Amino acid sequence: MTEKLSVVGKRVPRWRAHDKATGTAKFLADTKLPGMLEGKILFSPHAHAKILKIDTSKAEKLPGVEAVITWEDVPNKLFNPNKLDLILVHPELEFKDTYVLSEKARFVGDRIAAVAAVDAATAQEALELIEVEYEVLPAVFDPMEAMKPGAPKLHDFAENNISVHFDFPVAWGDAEAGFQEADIVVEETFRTAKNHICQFEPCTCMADFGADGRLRIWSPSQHAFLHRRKIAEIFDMPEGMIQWITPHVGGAFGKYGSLSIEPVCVALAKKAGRPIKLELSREEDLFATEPRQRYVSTGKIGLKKDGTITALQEKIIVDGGAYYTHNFSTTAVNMGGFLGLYRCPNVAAEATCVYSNVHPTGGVRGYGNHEGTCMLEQLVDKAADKLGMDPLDLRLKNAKKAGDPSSTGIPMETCSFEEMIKLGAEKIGWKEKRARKKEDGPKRYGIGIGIAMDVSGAQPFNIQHRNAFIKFNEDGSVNLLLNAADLGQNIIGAMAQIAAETLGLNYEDIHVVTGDTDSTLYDIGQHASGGCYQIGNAVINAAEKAKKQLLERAAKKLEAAPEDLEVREGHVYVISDPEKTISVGDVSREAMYNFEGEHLNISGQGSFSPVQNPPPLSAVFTEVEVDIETGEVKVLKILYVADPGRAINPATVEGQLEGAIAQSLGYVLTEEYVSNRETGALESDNLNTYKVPSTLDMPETEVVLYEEPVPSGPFGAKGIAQGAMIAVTPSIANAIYDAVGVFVTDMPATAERILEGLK
Amino acid sequence: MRVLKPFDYFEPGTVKEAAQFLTTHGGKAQVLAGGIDLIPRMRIGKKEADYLVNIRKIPGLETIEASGANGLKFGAMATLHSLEASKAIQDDYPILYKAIHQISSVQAKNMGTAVGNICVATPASDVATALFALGAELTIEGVDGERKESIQKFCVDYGRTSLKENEIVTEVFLPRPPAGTGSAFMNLIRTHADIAKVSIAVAITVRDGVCEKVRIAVGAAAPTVFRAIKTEAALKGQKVTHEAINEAAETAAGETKPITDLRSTAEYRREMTGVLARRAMEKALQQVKA
Ligand SMILES: Cc1cc2nc3c(=O)[nH]c(=O)nc-3n(C[C@H](O)[C@H](O)[C@H](O)COP(=O)(O)OP(=O)(O)OC[C@H]3O[C@@H](n4cnc5c(N)ncnc54)[C@H](O)[C@@H]3O)c2cc1C
Repeated sequence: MTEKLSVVGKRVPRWRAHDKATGTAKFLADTKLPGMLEGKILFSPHAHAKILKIDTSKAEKLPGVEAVITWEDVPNKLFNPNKLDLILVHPELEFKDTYVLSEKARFVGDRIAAVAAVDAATAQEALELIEVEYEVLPAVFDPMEAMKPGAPKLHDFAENNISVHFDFPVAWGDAEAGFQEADIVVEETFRTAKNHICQFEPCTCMADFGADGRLRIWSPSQHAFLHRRKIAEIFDMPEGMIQWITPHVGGAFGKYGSLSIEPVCVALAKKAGRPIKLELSREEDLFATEPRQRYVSTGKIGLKKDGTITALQEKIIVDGGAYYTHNFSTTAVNMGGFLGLYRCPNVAAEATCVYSNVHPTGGVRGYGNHEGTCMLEQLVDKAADKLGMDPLDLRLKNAKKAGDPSSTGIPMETCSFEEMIKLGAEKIGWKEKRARKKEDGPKRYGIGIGIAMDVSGAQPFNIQHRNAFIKFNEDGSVNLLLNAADLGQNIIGAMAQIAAETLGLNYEDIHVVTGDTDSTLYDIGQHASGGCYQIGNAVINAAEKAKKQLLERAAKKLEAAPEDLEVREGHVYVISDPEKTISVGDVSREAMYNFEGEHLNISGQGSFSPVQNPPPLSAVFTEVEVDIETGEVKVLKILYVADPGRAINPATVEGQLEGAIAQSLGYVLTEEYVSNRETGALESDNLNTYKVPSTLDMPETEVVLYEEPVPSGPFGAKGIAQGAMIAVTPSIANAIYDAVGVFVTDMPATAERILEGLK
Repeated sequence: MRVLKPFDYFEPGTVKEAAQFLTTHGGKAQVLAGGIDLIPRMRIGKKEADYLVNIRKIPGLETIEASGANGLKFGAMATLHSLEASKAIQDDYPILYKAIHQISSVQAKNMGTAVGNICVATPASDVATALFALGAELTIEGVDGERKESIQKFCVDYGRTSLKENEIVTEVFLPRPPAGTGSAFMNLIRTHADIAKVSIAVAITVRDGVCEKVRIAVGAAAPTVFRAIKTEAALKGQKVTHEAINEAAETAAGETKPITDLRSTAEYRREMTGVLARRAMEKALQQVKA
């Protein structure tokens, strides 16, 4: 690999940053199609109820109303909004339990009916005219209660509301024997936070059946092709009859890994015969789109006196909510994180996924690994405490190294946890700060660490298939065609940098075409931090093919062999005689316009299916101040050491890590998704009650990029974005533990809970 | 979804005219100041109005006037921002400055007024808590003339003031704190952009180590902002020792009638009233000494 890079590794402006900064970028809320209607959804006010009768006649008569749909108008077909059943190695572990609109409500917010009208206010008024006769059924809101015999049953197939019970599929060693061998065992039960991502743009979608009979969907999906296939299945259409357009995305963080309101929008468009826009309010987005799973999880760790980990075990109750969605997949990833972070010879885990009449949950940034790793990292600190060891030394003792399997089981090409931990410790002054006096009046100071490994895609558990296409324009610029959604992670900019670097062009020469299933090649979509690593390799593959054509044409002009040429900043040079040169534009133009009949649009199609799955690594250090009279936690500083392999654009990587710090702050300290115990309705249903931190709440942050390029990565890059919260969360919890000895098992650790813990 | 129902809009040129309009339309008209509380409430259907009476165009309502040894007056349309920026308030009424300054939303401070804030009569108002401790007196005008009322009397109950349908608050007067007065404002919030779980404002006047006068105001720990009257009475005339303060803080906690909601719990609010009251009193006393 060449170390002389001219575009990769540079802080170039991110893709479409100018449009967003100046407000000219069009989001769906800014978009209007000719003849478009606006839709509204009627959500169930009951946590559990059967619809006996539903009368829409009054709503239909309201002037301006064009269509009203109920469960009788939508396909009688179950589906799982999670896309993974299409690409999972074990599709039998994904259940289809959701209808577009339901005859039975299973949570407050379940979709009962929908209206399309000339404007949203009319549609809203019409909702109030829909007369629904419900038979209210007993409801259950707690997974433990839901598993008891005689509890209200949500889905016919799930006995005792258990959808599936499974063991970690690829466990190793003998956990029981491992605990026998251990000198100490630490065991704790945690209740993780059901946190909602609160992306800026509330969930919005448009759909239209064109005169050509094709269905067009505009939706900020993370998986345009997979979601297109889901819609095709639900509405019994060939995939090719659907064009999925991904507009600017106002934040996703995993939530658009599920179909959300698209099926309702499509059903409305079908009934109305007109384009529809469906836009949720903030309140609706909070109660009707998926927050994180809540896990009630017992973790156990066994260690020798010298700190060697001998066994790990996890028993999880998945409080998944009223529908299955990502229950299995996030939980399997949770186990992978918990069992796979450290060297440990004996591991086991089991999980029970439970339905209850609360808001269904989905896959959110960190995707189970966040919760699994957080529990493990807290247990490690408690174990260190018991052993009288510095938690940093305990980590160094058990840290994995290159060649060890990652949490996916695939051996790691690189792994420098040890160096990263030492570097961070040095920078923050770990030893001194752990040892210093921790008091100042009612203030207590603490410092904590958390480490994590995530993934660069979902190899070997999912099909991971990426494509890219490159074609040259007359002027020597290229169009890079790919299907990747810029969710904020700047995947498009990074891909343009990789294309430019490979082709020997400038960043500005790459014009990206994306967000349209008609004009781009197949891609599984944005998940599991797989984009940069996997699509990046497809882009290199495409660029190399196109470059081969370019050099062959240039070779003739320059009267040299193709292998004796190089491309730099838009020019082809003879390496041994740089005086001999031709611009890429001249080569490209000549290939299109010549009278010799040797015509060619220089281009290349690249594909990638991974073998490796190199984990990005993080080591995060957090300093906190806790007020022992009020229980308030103030995060003073976070030092983030991250190994992204190679940072294609360091500014973007830093942005991802800083954003993750903000999200972890909210997760650990303030964001509480609260449902009413009697009715099951969401109480924290706006940003006044559901408290997301703002820039004002940010601590001092320092990001250190420890770049160790991986051989299999594009210019050495791995993933970074989705796993960015994972190490931050436990580092905060561990800093609190260091400061005041309160071991946080229930998140968020509000001031009230900390104070309770201090008593 | 939030839909703002249609309403008629009126811009009176004088307070009399406004009061007249309110009288004619009875409960169907609402005074509009900054609108940052009223409009969102109307959107979610928690307040209804066929008419909005915007008092912005009435001359003189936005003034802030320091009248020397007497005190300071500000009008109903003085925005939170203009109060925060007032040198007189920063110097002589620092707890009002603090209560406003800690509001993180610049937009809210540019649009919202202090009088609008107290007219909402929410117990969680930081601004009202400071005004209680400063002994604010309101001027209220109706068709039949003018009346004056202390802020405690004005805030009757949760969301309820003593205002009649056709009355308007025109002015707030803050008496000048006597020499030897120290003050402090404190609150507890979840994030910077949040409404307080508890807030405390204290103004204490000390001569020769003895408490001559004290106001202790508590926000978000009862149906209204309130003065901890028993605590104040117990302190008055006492030497302000640590013991006296600790005891007073405990008494203050006992005067709360808090609730549990999404922001906090009743127990926490009660306990924190004690902690903050103690800290605020200590801080105020340090100021006196300095
Ligand atoms: C984002 C945000 C953050 C905030 N943070 C804080 C905070 O940290 N601390 C805090 O204390 N407050 C906070 N507030 C509350 C804010 O201070 C008040 O909502 C605001 O000051 C209300 O003033 P207004 O002029 O907009 O009132 P309006 O909304 O115009 O009026 C409110 C009510 O008072 C009535 N009214 C207004 N003026 C008069 C008058 N002169 N005579 C009679 N009736 C009148 C109206 O009819 C209406 O019923 C916050 C508000 C927002 C939106």
